[in-house]
Amino acid sequence: MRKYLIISALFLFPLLYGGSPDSLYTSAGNAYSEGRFEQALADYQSIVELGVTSADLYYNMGNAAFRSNKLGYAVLYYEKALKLDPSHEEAGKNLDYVSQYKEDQLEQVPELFIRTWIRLGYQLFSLRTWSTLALIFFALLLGSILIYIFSSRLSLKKTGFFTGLVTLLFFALSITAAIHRNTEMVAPDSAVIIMPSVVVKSSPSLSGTDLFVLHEGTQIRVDDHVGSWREIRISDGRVGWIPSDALAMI
Amino acid sequence: MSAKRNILSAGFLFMVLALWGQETAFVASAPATVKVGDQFQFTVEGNEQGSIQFPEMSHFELLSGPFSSFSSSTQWINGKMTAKTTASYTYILRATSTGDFTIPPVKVKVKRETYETNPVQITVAGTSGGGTGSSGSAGSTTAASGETSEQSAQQPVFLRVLPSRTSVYVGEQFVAELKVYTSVNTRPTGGLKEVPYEGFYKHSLDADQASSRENVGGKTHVTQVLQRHVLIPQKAGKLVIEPFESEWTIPRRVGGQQGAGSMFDEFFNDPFFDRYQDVPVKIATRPVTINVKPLPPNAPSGFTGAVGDFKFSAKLSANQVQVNDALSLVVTISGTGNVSLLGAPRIDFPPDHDIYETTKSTKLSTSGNRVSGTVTFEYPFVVRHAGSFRIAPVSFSWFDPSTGKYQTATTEEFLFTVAKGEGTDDGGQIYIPGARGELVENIGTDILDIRRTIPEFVTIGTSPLKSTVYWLLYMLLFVLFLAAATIFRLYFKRKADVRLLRNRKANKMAKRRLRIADKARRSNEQDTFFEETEKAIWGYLSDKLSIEPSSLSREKVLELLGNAGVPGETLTELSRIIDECEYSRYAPSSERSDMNTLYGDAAGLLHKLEQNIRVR
Repeated sequence: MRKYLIISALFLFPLLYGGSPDSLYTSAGNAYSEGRFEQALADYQSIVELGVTSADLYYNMGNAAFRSNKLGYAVLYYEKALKLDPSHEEAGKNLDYVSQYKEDQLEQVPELFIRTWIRLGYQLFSLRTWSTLALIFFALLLGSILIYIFSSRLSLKKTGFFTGLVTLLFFALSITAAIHRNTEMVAPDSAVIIMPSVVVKSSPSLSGTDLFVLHEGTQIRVDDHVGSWREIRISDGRVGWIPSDALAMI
Repeated sequence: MSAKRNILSAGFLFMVLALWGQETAFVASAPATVKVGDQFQFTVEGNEQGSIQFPEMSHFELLSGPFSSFSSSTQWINGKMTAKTTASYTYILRATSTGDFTIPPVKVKVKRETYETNPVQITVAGTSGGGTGSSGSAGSTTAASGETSEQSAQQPVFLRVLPSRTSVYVGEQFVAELKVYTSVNTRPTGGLKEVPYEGFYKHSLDADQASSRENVGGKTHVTQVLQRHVLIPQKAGKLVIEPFESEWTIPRRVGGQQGAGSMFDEFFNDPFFDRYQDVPVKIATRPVTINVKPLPPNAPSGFTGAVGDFKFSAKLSANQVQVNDALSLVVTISGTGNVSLLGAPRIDFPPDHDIYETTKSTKLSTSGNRVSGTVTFEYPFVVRHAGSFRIAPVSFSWFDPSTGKYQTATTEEFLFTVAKGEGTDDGGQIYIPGARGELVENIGTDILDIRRTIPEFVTIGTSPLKSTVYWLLYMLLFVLFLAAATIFRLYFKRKADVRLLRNRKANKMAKRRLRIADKARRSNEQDTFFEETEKAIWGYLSDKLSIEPSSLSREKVLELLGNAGVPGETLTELSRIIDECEYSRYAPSSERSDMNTLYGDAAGLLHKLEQNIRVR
């Protein structure tokens, strides 16, 4: 009897608590359609609180946040969606669209072209894709080695050798990109300003000199932290300190 | 006397009214203060003729009347006709008892409509003279009169700004009067400027020229309203009407300048002999604070700042037009309130038509103490494309200060159809938006919609690089690789062993076969001999070159043997012997080669081959 009670409680608990990710996703979508954007955002948020996520979920959260006049969160969620799935077309388009409402216009420090290539390269695929590719290239590499060693014909041996070299290169690239993406995921260093405006200080204390003011939606990099202060760097290279509650890590 | 002036001023008022608009209205007027038993005039004036119904009044006696007078004039200005009619009805009344009384609204029937005048307050004072405080005009109460201090009452002349209300909403209209209180004969030096009501939108009303009497601080003053304005506060908060200063001339007694003690002084100090001299004095009003309440939040979307009581309508000039015809949507807002400050309501026109600038025309009229009027917004546009179009319902919201709530009026939607113009093509003669077609233009841009299909959720924080399975897959691949390598190694080794074995046994096997051929030779079995000899050679080659017997061919064998370093003559010998064997097997006995020679040659060939083939 007691056993049944526990089992039924286990089944009822998620229902009482707002349901499964799927049902929450549907109800949030309905709320969005009816114009209750705050409610939609709250529902999506509760899916994240259940411990699961997806690129589409973050994309929808970005939309709901933008409709609720939370520009900072909109940028944050679109970036999160793109981080999970760099090929998410809608998230990219909407991020571009909402960016026109940003108040801060920042100059970009010119980047070394090779850095740009590297950045664009590893941003091509998600962590999942990169790690899968690494596995595939590893398998191909082993296959090539087998061909090279055991082939009796010279031409086949040559093919095996060069395929082996190329797959080794690709394997190294994919595993590096995957590791890069993983570090980005585990210890993110980019963030978005979520407060309407925040004064950037010269030191991690309220008594620090005011350097400049950043506004909602601006993307920054976080370099260091002292207590509840974060050392940030904006795209034109300026550095300063802001309280941690003014930003959200992507 | 005062009543006569009243009529004059009211008449002027109505001329203004008639200029502003043709709204029918009637206004009643009477002196504010009368004495018991005195006759006074009660006048009803309007801009239409009608039949008047005199109300029942208990405190006044109707002596005579109504005396009616009409005047009408027609003017043509710029081809526009303006007709003005002024009608006035005058009653002669007498007050029968003292006190504050109100003459109720008088009903005037014009054609089928019945209009009501404003009520009129009259203070009837006792015969002893001096009226109690009351303003000269109907409807406006002297809110500040109670504050009058003794000191100012002692002064011969003082000015007051008297607002009808001290607590209003932003945009709500009220009346402020500039009133002079005097106990001497006085006049302003030079012209009197207008009170600059800062922070207010002001609209000047006609001052009531009638003077009346008021008792302030126990002293009766003659009062007169000098200026009347309808004020509309423009911002919330405590707005202060700053002291307004003006210069007045008052008579001051001069005399007694001779030294005291003179007998003449005594005599001339008598007021009868006082000499008066006009002295200019500066008089300022007191500051008056108006508490302006902000409008409540959550204004409806159609709210453009209108405060008051309004009627709203909209009309489309035509429903069926042709391409390039002009249409206009006329929105009319009429009522009482801050009419002149109204903003144009927003209208969603169907896109792709030429919309011209909205014109606003305002007609104001003052009836009693309120500004009312009509604002007309005209939205002209020219249709550029044929089809059926819709203008969404237009809504207009205003704040009603009497209820303290927002109100919204919404029209029906407007539909119109545009037919293609005759003769002219879609582009028309006037408007050519490109040679034939137009690019599809963005009317608005927005973010893309959300995705609704339920996605595949992944647990937050999981990373393939952190999962054991991922790295196990690498291990598995590597193990597979090792296994495959081992298997290949074993396979190739075994294959090599087989070859070696066959290679080594090739000679032995060939010799065994040749022995069978030798046996056949001795027993003269020719068919068997040639067959076995050939078999022995082919078998040897198959074993020695590691070629399956099925894929053996002479060309391949010759090529391989050539590569293996077998000299050309041996190869020719090989070809000859194989040819002879093949030929002799099927040839008639007479043409067969000699078995003994062939046997010797075959044995010799095998020996040579065994010596010359170098196994790689």
